[in-house]
Amino acid sequence: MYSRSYRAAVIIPPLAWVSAFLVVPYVFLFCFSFWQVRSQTIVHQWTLANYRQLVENPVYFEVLLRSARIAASVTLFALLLGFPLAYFVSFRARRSKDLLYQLVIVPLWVSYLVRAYAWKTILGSDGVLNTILTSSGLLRHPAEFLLYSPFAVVLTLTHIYTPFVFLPVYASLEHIPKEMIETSQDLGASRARTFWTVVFPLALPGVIAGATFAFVLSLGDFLSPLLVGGPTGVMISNVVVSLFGAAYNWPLGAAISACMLLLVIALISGTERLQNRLRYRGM
Amino acid sequence: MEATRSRCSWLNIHAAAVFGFLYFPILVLVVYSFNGESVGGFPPHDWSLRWYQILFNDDSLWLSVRNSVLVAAFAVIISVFFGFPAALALERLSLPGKIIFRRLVLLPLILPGIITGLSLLTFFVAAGAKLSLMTVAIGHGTALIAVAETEISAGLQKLDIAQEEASRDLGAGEWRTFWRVTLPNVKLSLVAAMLLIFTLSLDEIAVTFFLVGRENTLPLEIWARLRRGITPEINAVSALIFCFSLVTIVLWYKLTKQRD
Amino acid sequence: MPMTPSGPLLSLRSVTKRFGATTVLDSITVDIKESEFLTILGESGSGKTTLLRIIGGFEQTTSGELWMLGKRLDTQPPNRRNINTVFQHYALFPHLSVFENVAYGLRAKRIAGAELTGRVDAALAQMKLNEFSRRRPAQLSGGQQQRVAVARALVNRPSLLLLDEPLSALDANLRRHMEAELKALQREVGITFVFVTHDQEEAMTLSDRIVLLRRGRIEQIDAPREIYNRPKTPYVASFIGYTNLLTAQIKHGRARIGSFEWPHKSDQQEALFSLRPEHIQIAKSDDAGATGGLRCRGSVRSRVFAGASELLEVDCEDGLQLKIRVPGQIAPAKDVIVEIPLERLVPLVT
Repeated sequence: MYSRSYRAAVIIPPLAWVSAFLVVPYVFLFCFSFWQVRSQTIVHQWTLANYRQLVENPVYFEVLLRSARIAASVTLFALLLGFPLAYFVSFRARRSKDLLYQLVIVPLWVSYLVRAYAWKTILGSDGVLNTILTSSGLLRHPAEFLLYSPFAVVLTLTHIYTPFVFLPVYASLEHIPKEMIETSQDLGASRARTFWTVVFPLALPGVIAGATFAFVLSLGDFLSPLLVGGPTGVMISNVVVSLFGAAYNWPLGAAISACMLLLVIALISGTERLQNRLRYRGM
Repeated sequence: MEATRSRCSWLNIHAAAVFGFLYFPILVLVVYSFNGESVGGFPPHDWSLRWYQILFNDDSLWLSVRNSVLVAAFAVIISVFFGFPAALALERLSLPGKIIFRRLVLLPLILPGIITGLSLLTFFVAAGAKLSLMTVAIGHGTALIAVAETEISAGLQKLDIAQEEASRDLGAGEWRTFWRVTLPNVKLSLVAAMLLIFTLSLDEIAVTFFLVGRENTLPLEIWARLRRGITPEINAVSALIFCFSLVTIVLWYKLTKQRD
Repeated sequence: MPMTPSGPLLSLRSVTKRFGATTVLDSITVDIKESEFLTILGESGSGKTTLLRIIGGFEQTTSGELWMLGKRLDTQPPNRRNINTVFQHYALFPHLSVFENVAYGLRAKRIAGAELTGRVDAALAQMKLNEFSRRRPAQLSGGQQQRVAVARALVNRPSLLLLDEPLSALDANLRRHMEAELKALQREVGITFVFVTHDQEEAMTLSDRIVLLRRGRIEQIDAPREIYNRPKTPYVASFIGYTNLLTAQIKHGRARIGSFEWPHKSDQQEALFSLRPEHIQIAKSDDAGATGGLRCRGSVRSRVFAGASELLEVDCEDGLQLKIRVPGQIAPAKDVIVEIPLERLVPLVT
């Protein structure tokens, strides 16, 4: 149905651009990871030294582990907050469903920076939370751990990524045919049973998608740690940022980034395969 | 259908709490933006528009706003210019490797911004290009092709392909069919995509962080000031950004609802 | 089957349903009996699906009551009524096996172990599904899925089974087959089936009684034979099968169409009659005959061959136009003599 000129016009430009500005840059990143830094210049000598350093120096693994722990906590909390909310809006809200949906996605698109900065002001020793805690007598002194700690990073990232979890969960809940819920009730199941035996299994692909988003994006986050993490809240991307900045070791930074890229792609492929196995035709 | 229904079930309370959690920080910022004193204490004692006044006279900030708008405009052009044909190819043509291509296009959406930013940085450096607003625009545009493709694909799916086939059956070529049938029907998706890309580009910071030259975009200008020390003026900027984003996102949502 | 006391199983009393300003069901009153196959028949928009959903508990009445065996039904949620539903698109749980689908209702009642397995296996055997018990719904054909849906409902031993156009998704031959199976199943199980459809042939084949709904009101409730031979209104007469609608003038106790006249008592000046095409005869010769019916000459305008029969359109004298159904093997000439038996003229209420 389509002529060759049409096909070419539609395929070539995006393919060319994406190859040039997406694929080639990844290739360059990999290339950089095999080079080295000598006396403040990048030397194009091919070597595995950077990767060896990552494996041998325990510092990097520790930071990665802490980042993974933080990312896992964020994912867990985002699910605990986001899933019931999605269920509420999908199944319980009737007239206000539309409005509530908008209320959830608005924070999603409002500047990351604004929201992270907001938490900074709230969690500070002079901030809202501490003021409430001290003036109400619950604490004698402002809690120092609130800001500049992994706790602050987890809190901020949970705030950022809860809507990210909400979206795919909500989509998969909405996808469940109403008839299936009615059948379950028709057959005598209580609301709880209907939820655990019908709703939740069918919403699982959405849950996995949301959890993957939250985990991957939290793992690679560097802004929140810089704003509210302090020295104890440093994550793996912060190491990379400093390597591309003051610490000036681009190849090493590229190596870490390359590893992250591969890890993330592996994670995404894995969870996607899982999602597909749990998805049912005719739904 | 339910014989009993409790208003105050834990689900309702939980939902209200999560909404509170999502909006509490933003509201605090907005409240603080009217705080006359420079720091401290909650609630603020001194209500004033001082920070907004300082804001409006802050030239370098407005310069960064101008930069952001420029970058966002370019980003919209790039992502739509390449995202539209990508959507057409993915939705209408049968090609080998479609799945891989779609994955590739959507990758920047799920990858942490640092990876997209760094890979482009190494690319520009190796190519000898200087970092500038242009490199930022290319970065945004490339990453946001995914958004353009997703929105326009959604619009194409809503369009019954039989209409395009009828147009061809009646003698129109592919380009006429595109102009007369396809394009008018995906107008809504196109506008929605542009709105969303513009907003996302304005707020973008992770990729921008690595690609910016001497001129700052608004988020980076704010970031730079934050690193130097808290200026409550930032509260005012944030409040304004929030309002602006709120309006655009509601607009975008209404557009997509209309389409569906 | 135990003898049950006389009295209806399910009583609908003045059931009315409004959605905003639209009245979907208007004062529906009907008694549904034990062990009967009842069909609710109607076009789309007639309210038949809404009525079914009200009985199943998925919609509330705006006014009116439902009573089942002496107890109020409409206040109960769907999981507490002793009624099960087979949905139009079956709504099988895609993530559960056939066995688990059928076992679902029993597990909800906390039945387990040998009793559960026994009942499920029996239900599967009844629907000839034993070999599929481990499969997932997506691996079954449409007809098999439909049987699973029925088994899943029946295993709970409801007093009443609701079926919402369950055969509409099947192709014609499979449909005929499943119709026969459903009829046999109902006889075997012995419970009341309430079946919703828009297909009048299906309704005629399956039902003990048909409830014909039109725009939310009951047109007629009767056994298929009665509804066919003695329709009450022109709508019923035209909805079920083909018919000729004849308007006659009434004067002095006699009805007259054209040159036909026959005795008919009525206060009205006009009356509408239904005459089924297959009840009209084509006379073999010109002799008056002893049939005592009305006769006239006519000429065949068109004919449609339908295998076992042929439908003729005949223009008679006096401008009367009749549809006549004749056996397909007869090849009548263009000019015919039409004979109408008087007793086949059914007076209608308008």
